[in-house]
Amino acid sequence: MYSPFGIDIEKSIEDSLDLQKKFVKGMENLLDVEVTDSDITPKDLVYSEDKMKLYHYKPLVKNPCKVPTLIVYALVNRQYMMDIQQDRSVIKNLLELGLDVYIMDWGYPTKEDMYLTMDDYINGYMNNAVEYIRKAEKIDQLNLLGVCQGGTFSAIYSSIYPEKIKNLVTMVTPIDFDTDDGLLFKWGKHLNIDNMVDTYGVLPGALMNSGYLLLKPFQLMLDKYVNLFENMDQRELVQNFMRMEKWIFDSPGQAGETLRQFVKDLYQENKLIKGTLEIGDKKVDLKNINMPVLNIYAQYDHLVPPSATIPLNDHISSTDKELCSFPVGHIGMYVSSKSQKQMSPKLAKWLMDRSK
Amino acid sequence: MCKQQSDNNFVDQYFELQKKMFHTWQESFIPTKKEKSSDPITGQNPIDFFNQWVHTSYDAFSKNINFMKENAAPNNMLGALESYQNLYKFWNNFTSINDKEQLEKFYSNWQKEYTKMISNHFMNFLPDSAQSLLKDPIDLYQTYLNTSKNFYTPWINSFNESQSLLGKSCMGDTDAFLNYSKLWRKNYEKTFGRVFDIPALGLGKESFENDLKRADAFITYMNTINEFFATIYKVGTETMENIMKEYQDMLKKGTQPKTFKEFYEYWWKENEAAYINLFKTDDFSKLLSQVVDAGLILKQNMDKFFEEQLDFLPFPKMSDMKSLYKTVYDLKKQVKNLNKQIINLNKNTNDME
Repeated sequence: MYSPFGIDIEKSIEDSLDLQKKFVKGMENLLDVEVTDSDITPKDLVYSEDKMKLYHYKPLVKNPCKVPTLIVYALVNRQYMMDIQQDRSVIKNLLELGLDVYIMDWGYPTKEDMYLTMDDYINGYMNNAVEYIRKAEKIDQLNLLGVCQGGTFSAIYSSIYPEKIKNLVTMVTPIDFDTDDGLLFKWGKHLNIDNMVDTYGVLPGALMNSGYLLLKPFQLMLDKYVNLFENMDQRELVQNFMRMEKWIFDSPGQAGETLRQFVKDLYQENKLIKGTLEIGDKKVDLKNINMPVLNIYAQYDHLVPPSATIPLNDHISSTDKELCSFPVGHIGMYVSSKSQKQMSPKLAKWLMDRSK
Repeated sequence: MCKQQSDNNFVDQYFELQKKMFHTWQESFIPTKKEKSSDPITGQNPIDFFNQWVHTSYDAFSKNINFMKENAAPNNMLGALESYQNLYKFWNNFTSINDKEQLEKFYSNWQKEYTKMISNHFMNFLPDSAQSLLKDPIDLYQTYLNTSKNFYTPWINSFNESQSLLGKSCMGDTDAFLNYSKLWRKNYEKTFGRVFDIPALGLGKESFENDLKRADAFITYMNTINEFFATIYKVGTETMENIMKEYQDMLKKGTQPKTFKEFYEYWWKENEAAYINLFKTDDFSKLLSQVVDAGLILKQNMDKFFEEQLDFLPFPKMSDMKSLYKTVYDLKKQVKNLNKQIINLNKNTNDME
């Protein structure tokens, strides 16, 4: 049934009725929804320092890999993305595939943490966590798995302390910041970070989130919710959505001095690639990375474009190095079914083969 | 308690909703005597059904999830639904046009509303605290522009040019509005902005100078934010124009979106692409940086103002706390280093033994 203006009225009415039925049914789903099953794979708190906590996951196989793997997540957002829900948990997959996994939780910085520097995070917290594991497991070397900004920290750490790292895995990790592919990289170059840090001390997570949402203004602030609206009658889908939404907006503030150095030295001056970066009193030379490296990137990553990730392999001296990609976005690397089926097995096998 | 109450309201409203749905259905689909003679296809009731019903549901929904305010998702979702509904009104209005004259009328009627719709959409990105910082100056800016037109503009060198641009922008020329904002900012910096740098004298010197700085920061912020939003609106209205033109072409070929859902998909994807093109430009990166910077300078001045008010009261201020945090940070670092040294010394002593 077409109107003179080319509108299929019958279909439009059907659509609207369908939408409304779903909406009424879905209201109950939204009001009853519980999102408590993130971050529930069993683990023990084994070490803590200030707000940083180090957890050791309980192995899920009889004889796990002898070399433990430490996961280092970004300072922005929370590490439980890796364990978002039991049927989409990268951590659970890695444990079931035989890895022995530790994870660092950076916590939520408050005003008293405004002076924490990259030196405190990398030579302090991260190194102390590595030392704890080496001592507890009576080993010289462990595997390091860095995610996003945590991958940048892991690459920096591995170049300062190569003797402590058996294998390095970086995932969706920015290394070469001299790219215009991602909007964050473009905007970061003009940002007056000094003014920002001097004003806030600890940058509010909500402010950072506004920037991320602006990267895809209609998809992330409109279409995402319209889709939810259209599927509100599906309880499981609503639950998954709310779980993800909770994670997205669970954004810790950022310690100002760390962010200042990260933006100035990396986004604006690309010092990691130039070989001029210094963390505390330590010089960072990517050529010191000589252990096996697996560099994983997402082909459709709008936050960390492949052009920022791929160059790592050209700047290290490792002979055993591999570049690997999946046709997913930044977050899809952890929650998509592709990642559960392909990425985790690939990652676990790569580490197990090199941890004998 | 609050949840219990909301749940009760919800049940009441749910039944109310059902009742309203039935009424709407009756009004929309059961022809009254008067309507029997009207065209069943182009009759207005069926096409209004969606809008009425969404409005009713939306009201009930928004009332019942207020208690979940601390959760970002429902709030964001409501903002998105509002945009979605506004787009529906736009589409509904738009698809009932069939000649050029009507199209022009539609365009001028919708231009202001559309800009508001785009503005609300972009406001939804920001944290609540930042939204008020933005919304208030935008409202104030209108008053400010009107006042400035009467009192200040005659002193500005490029009076004619700015007036002409202002005139054009009033007629709906988005380029003119953007250029007017830019020109205003430039002129302000050259003229009145300098007035705020005048050195003060006497006992209240510092306080007076701070007041001037605050006023300057506020006006600079308003100028920058308006240039920013003028840029955003310009892309929005240009995209709207393109969509309208393209839609007319598609209508001729019969390839137009056939339902609102299809139109919506087409609309948001066109907008997303247009905005990403804007965001990629160096000019936008610089403007974004200027907006953030102007906002930060305004916040710094406001923080300083509050600190000045607290000066005679027995409360620690943020600047006091910052100094304390720095001392604690330095001491903590020192203690950690000393601890490490003690551990190493003990280890060396044990090794030697």
